[in-house]
Amino acid sequence: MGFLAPAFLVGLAAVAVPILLHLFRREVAPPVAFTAVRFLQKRTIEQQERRRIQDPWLLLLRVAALALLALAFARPYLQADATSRPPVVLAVDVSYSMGAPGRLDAARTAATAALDEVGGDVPVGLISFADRAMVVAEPTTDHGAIRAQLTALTAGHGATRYAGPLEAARSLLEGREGRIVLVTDLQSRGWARGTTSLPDNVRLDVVGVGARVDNVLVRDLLVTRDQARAVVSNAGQVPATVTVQFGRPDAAMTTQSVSLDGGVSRELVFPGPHAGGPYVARVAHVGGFPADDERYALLRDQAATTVRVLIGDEVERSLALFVERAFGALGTEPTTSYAVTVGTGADALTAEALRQADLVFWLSATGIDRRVVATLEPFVRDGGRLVVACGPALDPRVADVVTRPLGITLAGGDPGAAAPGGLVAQDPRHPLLAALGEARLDLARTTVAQACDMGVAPGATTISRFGDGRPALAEVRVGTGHLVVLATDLGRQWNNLPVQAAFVPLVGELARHMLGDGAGARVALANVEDARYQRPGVWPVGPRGQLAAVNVDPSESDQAVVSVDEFQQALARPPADEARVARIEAVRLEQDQGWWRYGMALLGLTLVAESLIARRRRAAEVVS
Amino acid sequence: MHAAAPGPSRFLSPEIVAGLGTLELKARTIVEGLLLGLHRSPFRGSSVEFAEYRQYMPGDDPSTVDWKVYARSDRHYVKKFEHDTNVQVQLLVDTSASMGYRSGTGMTKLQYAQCLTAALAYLLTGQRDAVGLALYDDRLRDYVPSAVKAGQLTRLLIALDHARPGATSDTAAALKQVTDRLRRRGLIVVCSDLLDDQPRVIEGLQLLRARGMEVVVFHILDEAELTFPFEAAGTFRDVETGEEVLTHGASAREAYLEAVGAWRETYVTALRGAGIDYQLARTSAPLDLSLLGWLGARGRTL
Repeated sequence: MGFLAPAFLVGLAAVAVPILLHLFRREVAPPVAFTAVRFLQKRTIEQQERRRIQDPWLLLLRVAALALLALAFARPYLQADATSRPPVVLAVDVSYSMGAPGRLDAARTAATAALDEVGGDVPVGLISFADRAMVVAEPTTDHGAIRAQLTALTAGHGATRYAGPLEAARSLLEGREGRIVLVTDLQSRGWARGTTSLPDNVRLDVVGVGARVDNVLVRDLLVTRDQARAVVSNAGQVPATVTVQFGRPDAAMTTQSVSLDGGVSRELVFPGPHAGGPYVARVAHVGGFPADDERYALLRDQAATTVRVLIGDEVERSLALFVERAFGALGTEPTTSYAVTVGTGADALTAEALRQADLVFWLSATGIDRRVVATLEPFVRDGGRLVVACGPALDPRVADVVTRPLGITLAGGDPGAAAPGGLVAQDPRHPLLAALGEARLDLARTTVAQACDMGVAPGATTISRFGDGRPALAEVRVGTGHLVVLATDLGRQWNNLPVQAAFVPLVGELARHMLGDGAGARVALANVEDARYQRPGVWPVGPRGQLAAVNVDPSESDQAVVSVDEFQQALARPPADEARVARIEAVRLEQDQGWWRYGMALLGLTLVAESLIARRRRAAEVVS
Repeated sequence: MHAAAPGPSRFLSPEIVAGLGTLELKARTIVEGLLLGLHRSPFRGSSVEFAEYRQYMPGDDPSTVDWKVYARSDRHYVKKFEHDTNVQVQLLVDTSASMGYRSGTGMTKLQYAQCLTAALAYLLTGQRDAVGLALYDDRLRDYVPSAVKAGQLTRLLIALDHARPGATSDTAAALKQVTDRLRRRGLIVVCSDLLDDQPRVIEGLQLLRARGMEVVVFHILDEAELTFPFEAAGTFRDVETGEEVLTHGASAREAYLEAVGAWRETYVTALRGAGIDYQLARTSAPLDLSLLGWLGARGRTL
């Protein structure tokens, strides 16, 4: 037997207290008033009864109550018996590439074979994964249930990501020794988003299933009012002739045929004019991956994405210049156009005015009352996108009124403070910075003379820091709302960021990051949180619930694979922390066994019995 | 003519008497119940005062027939006469702390003594005896001289009603103080638990008797004092002296009962030997029964 908190066993010494009390403390009954005391003779009962334990049952119950209390607080557990076996976690790939004919069946067969290998007393868990990992079954010895759940697995629409299942399996194993059987088609793109690690006490068996298949997919679909362009790729190795349909999902479609050699892509143009609304392009191809045979696009009725730049008054219009110009440059792309307007004064901060904008940049608060700017906080909470750049015209203390309730605090901004240095990425894998690519190196070369002090609470994320380590760029999501705060300005007052080559890409990626691809018209399936819309189509998942096209990740169609050895080598295997493993095992055993609950229940019963006996004894004393 | 032997249910239990309102009501209830049992007054004093003649009627006591009148008139007349004040009665009530004791839910010894004394006062003033009252503990606390006058009974009852348990008792000293105030011989009734210096008490009472006083002692004791029903070990504290004795009830009982028996026997022997009436009055016993027990024995002398 072990104890999670053995220090509480010291409390067992407390059982001596009732023993001593019962031995040495006598119930001092009040003297009985009487008249004829002169006729009574003294007796030597005191000395005779002192050394005898009074009320042995009461003493026993009291000692037991104290001992149970100490033991329950010490959280006891029984060591696992020798027959306890390390658990096995089956992780089965259900990305859309597993939808290739026979591939998921092969995965089920492999997983079932792995299940058959383990003994009936070995707990087995099941995880399915694509973009996300989902724990289908916690480790259990009910292998029949695992088999049934394996049978029920279907290929989804996500792309392969290996980090998720490995993290989930590690979480299921809770640091214990164990084994993971990963059944996948071993697509090399599964490692695209960083790597993960497994402690060396976890054995990883990778089972590759599926062979290369001939696959034709719609790689991209861009719809403008003039024309629609569908990019069709032959990801297989043999030439294929396919027909491609384009049109509204619920209406008659235009069809074109195209012949493609293996590994070749071709762009098909469907001339317009096209009205606003959802469109889909479908390729008719038997075999391959069914999920990538169609692609959706949304042509918005509105002419452009509305960007609102808020400044205090007309005199400060120059502060908005660089942001305006950046969006002007970005608007030349065929799929996106931005309508940038500059709002001044308190009128631009009304809830009604803010609701008109898809994206709001707040650069100045000169002459605006604090109570007026407070409307920006509910704007974000209601799903609005807001960028705050504090600077000489936007006092950090005023901006703090809006950002603090959302988890980001602003202060300082004193001119005498030391220059904070350039912008350094906190995590290069952050989508905003990852999309910037090489341009983020230019950010590091930015000269920042002054910045305000930003505090980032748990729940908010630091994207970038200054050279001196202070947070420079942070974000927080509130429901569908999104707030990004820059600790320096965007008007070339405190820095030279607007004249850096990275400025326009930064603004563009910032807008894309906050609004979604195509200014919110496209949303990657992996970014859709609502399970109802985690499939291709046009769904209300855009900014503030606007419709957006959701499509599968075309990179999943890349059939390049890694070998099992390469897979194993790509994984970091740090040594298991034995002490931590032992601790986790002890915690798990203690939680599973829950002896402390029985101890507390017994304690309750003991106290009830003690009070009943004590009460009965008192009643008897009164009668006597 | 003897009083009919009353059944236990006819008597008033101390609990019932205690529930009655005023002391006068208690006294009257006790005495009326008592007389109901006796059918006729037990008090037949030797000194009577002529009131009137009445023609003899069947049932009249032949001894009351005036034979001289018969000789003169040849008619049978009986004499009707009032009792004269021929006895001076002094009631002594012990109000020491020990008299405040009770073991159950009934009366304390003092309450019992109050009722008993009140009943006697009611009875005696009714036959126009001069009744007085003395309350004492270690000294005389209250004293109402004996007299025959209107409102005497009320004075006696008020004084009795104000009696509260006091300090230790010194019966001998109280007896001496009362005796000094008495002008002539009479009857002295002592209501006490006699938890006192026994030789001095006996000596004091014998002295009174020697001076020609009729003395009656109601020895009022609680049931617990007579039976010692305590079982557990514990400390017993004397209500008067504060003395504490640690003992075991069950094992100490035998010795206690023996000592109490000897103590009582000493009183009985010494007092009766001196011609003093000794009447044990248990607080659990009906009041009228206690009274009757004594009147049955002494009624002739009153």
